[in-house]
Amino acid sequence: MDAYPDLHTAKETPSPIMEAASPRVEWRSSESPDWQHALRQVGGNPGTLDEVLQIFIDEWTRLRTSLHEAAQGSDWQQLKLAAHNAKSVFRLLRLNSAQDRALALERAAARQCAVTVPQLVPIVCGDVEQSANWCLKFLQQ
Amino acid sequence: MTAQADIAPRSQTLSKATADQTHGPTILIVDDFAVDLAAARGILSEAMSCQLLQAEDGEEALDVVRQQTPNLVVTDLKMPRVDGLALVSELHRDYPLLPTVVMTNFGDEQTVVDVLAAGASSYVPKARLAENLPRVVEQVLSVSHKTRDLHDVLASKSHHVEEFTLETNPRLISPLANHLESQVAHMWDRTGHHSFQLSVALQEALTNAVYHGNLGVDSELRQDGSDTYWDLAEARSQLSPWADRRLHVKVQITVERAEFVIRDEGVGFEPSQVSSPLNDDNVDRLSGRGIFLMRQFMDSVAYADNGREVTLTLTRRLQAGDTEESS
Repeated sequence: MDAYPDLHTAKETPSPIMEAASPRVEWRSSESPDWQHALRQVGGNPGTLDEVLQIFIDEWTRLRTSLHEAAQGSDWQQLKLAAHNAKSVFRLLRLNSAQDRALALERAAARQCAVTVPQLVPIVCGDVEQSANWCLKFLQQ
Repeated sequence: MTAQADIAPRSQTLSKATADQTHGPTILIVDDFAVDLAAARGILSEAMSCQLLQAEDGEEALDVVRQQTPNLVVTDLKMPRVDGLALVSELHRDYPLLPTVVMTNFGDEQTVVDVLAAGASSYVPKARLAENLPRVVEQVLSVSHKTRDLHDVLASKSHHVEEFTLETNPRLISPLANHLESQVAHMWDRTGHHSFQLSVALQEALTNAVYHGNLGVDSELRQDGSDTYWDLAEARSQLSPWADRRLHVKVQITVERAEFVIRDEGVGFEPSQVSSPLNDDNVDRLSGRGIFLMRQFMDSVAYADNGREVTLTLTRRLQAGDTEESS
């Protein structure tokens, strides 16, 4: 698993997405997105990729909230679905380690594992936030 | 806000089942995650002329099907309320002529088996959606577009035998599979998901015989997403010795049983060495998917002659509405 330096000590000023994030996440992956892969994944049309990334930027806080609330409420079905959706984003961006962590969370939720889930949720939430940051920067370029 | 709304975010532009105003078949895409839904929409609209509908879960999808009668449904598996497995089951029960294609994700291995058994026509790994979804959709649609007029005329036939010796031409695969499936449908007075599944199994068997057998191209070449696999197949279909090889198909259909013997003239392979696509290490790979689908959809799949010959058998089962007389 990757090392996760503190996201806020690693940056001088938080991005708009990080400002919107609450509670703030603690981890950041050393992976970075493969945009060519993402383009292929949506069929090769840059307009489609922009649309898909914009949808994720619009919705990522809900995904993170869903992960947190499901974990806190031991709503295993909701947690499985949320982890499943996070996994889709990481697959799109070819963030393989993040995808593995989301899969681990999905499987932990399926097992209703009260030990593993609290450890994985903040990490996957961090992966989601970081992915949203990357997507925002990509669209701004 | 409900928990489901949290999981199934929906942007303003994707808020309800809506249709793109284009020509071609109408395809309903079902996915609770707006990101995946938009990706599938983009892939299909880029690859083919079609009218796209969308729904965010199985329950909404059933409403759309009731109101707008699509030609095909492409659905995610894991969704709130009515999930993909339940959706496929309901569609199979209430709309047996409506084919369904399931988008699978890493971790869905066991559900793939269940959803195919429930009546899905085929499946596509989400990791390979852009490369495979349009092809699979067109394949399944080609099956469902066949006319049913001849069906009644030929329904009284009791024994059907055919034998083909074909040149190695990939274009002949789909017409031949559709023809063979139609013979079974006529004999057995059967339409619906069994017909789609039979046709998909035959297409996979014929595809293996043409591409891997006679043309000798390895499915591993498809893994990188490039056109190498298809380019090599195209080139070899014009060159000796590959172009000289023939495809042999023997068919025997009775009122109770259908048998298809497909033989190529390639170098053969060891069927037991083909990994299942449901293995964790293989779930996103294309290798073994055809054999897996054949085994799911047919009663038996037996290889002979070092993998050069495959025999597929299917036994007729009575369906609701069948009578002993018609069987």
